[in-house]
Amino acid sequence: MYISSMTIKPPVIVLIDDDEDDRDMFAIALKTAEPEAKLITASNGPEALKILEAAGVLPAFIFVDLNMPFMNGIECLAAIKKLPLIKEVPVVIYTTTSSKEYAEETKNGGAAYFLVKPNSLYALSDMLEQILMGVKLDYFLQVKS
Amino acid sequence: MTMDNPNLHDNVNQDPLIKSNGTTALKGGLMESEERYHKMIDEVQDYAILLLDIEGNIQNWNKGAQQIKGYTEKEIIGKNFRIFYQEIDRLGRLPERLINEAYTNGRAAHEGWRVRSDGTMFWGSVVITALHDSDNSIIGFSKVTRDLTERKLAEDRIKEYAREIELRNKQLEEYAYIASHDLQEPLRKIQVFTEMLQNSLDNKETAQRHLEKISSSAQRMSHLIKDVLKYSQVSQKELVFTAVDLNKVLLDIKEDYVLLIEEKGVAITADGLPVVTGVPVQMHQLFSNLLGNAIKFSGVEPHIDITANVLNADDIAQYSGLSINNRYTKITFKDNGQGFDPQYADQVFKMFKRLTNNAGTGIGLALCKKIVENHAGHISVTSQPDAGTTFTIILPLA
Repeated sequence: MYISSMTIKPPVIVLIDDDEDDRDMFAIALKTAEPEAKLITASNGPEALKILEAAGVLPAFIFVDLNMPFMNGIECLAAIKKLPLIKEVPVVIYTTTSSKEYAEETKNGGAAYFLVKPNSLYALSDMLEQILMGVKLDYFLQVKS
Repeated sequence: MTMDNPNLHDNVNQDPLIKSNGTTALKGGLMESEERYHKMIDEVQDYAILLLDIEGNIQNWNKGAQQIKGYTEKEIIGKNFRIFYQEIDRLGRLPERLINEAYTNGRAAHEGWRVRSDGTMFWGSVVITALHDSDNSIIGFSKVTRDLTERKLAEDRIKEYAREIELRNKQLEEYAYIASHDLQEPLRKIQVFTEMLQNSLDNKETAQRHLEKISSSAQRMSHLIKDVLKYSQVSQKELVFTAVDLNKVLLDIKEDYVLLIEEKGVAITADGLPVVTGVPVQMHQLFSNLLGNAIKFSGVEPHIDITANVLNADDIAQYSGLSINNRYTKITFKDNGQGFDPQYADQVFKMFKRLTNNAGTGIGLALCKKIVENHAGHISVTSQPDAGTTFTIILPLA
């Protein structure tokens, strides 16, 4: 079911992360994983919600950091799941935390995956490639390094 | 003593009640027996055993009573037993309540602090028992008191240790979380940028950029560790409170920030700050963080205004955790800087919460909150974007 929005070409990926370096790294890794993909970034939840509500296009995936000012990732996930149409878009929690409690909480909140930010761009782009291709993966994704 | 004790057998054999059937002997025996009972009570040293009349006036005294409570027999006979109670218990009519309970139920038991003749305290375990005559009407009370001060202090120590261990465990959990999350972040970046650097070695400009990223991540890591350490030191239990003159504290901090203050042209007004009861180094950290924040988030023509007022009784009642027996100062720390959306006011005091992507570690205001809590005070914040931020701090006056 995640593949459906990927059929829109080029696929649109949304990343919500307050850390500029992480946004840059994600952009580089995504370029390798799916050169066609169009990335929209937001540095916090409220900003992202505005973009999502206004955007005329349905994203293929939304990546959400957990530890953010104004609105944390869990609140952000809940807000996304209330938006008509957008609520069908798979949300990937993308965070430094490898906390199982957060993983459980976000799974219950309707997230598709919990991706622990890898220590390598190669690992990140491999991960993104698999997620975007719709390969069936475990919910908790942590690259061993 | 066991039943095999030969002395015990001798005593039993010599008992006049068993030995003799004569009336005179019986009468003499009774007197002797009463005398012995008297002696038995009199000589007991570990228990204060006394006889109270129906009003609670002391009728007799034993060695234990003298040892535990300090009064001699001459001083105390005829006095009311209320004399052994602390003033607060006398006002609360505790002695009367215990006597009433013994009167109604035949017995009253109680543990609590009692006062010796020299004014020092001991932890007494008391049993008051009603005494009846042959018509079953109450003629007085016996009162047996044990000094359990040692046990009480040991129990209190154990409770204190347990509380401390709980606190330490909570702190450990907090630091484990910090280590697993917040300290990981710059480390991960160093790893990623190193990888990027390896791939860009033939492009000097890009390589240089990655090197700078590695360096700034390492620096951030270093700041985080230092700040976490500061926070952990503030969480230590052993605090030494003294009178701290906040005017002096502010003067020192202005000295620390002198370059930034001049560079940004910050005007600071502070009128008559009070002397508070505080830990000097923590007062310094508190005001240093607040001033540092106000400078960091300053707008045009930055102005910081610090005022202090004594908190009145109505105000004290409004804050939970303040004691009406203390005097407090309410310090407002007001700037005309960038401010923030007031709906996020609660977040700013949380560990690692930053509302902007600035160079800070997100520990400064968590540290401020911890410090104010250490002083049994209160801290809150109001703010408006582009209008400025006001911190309100309540601290105990010296």
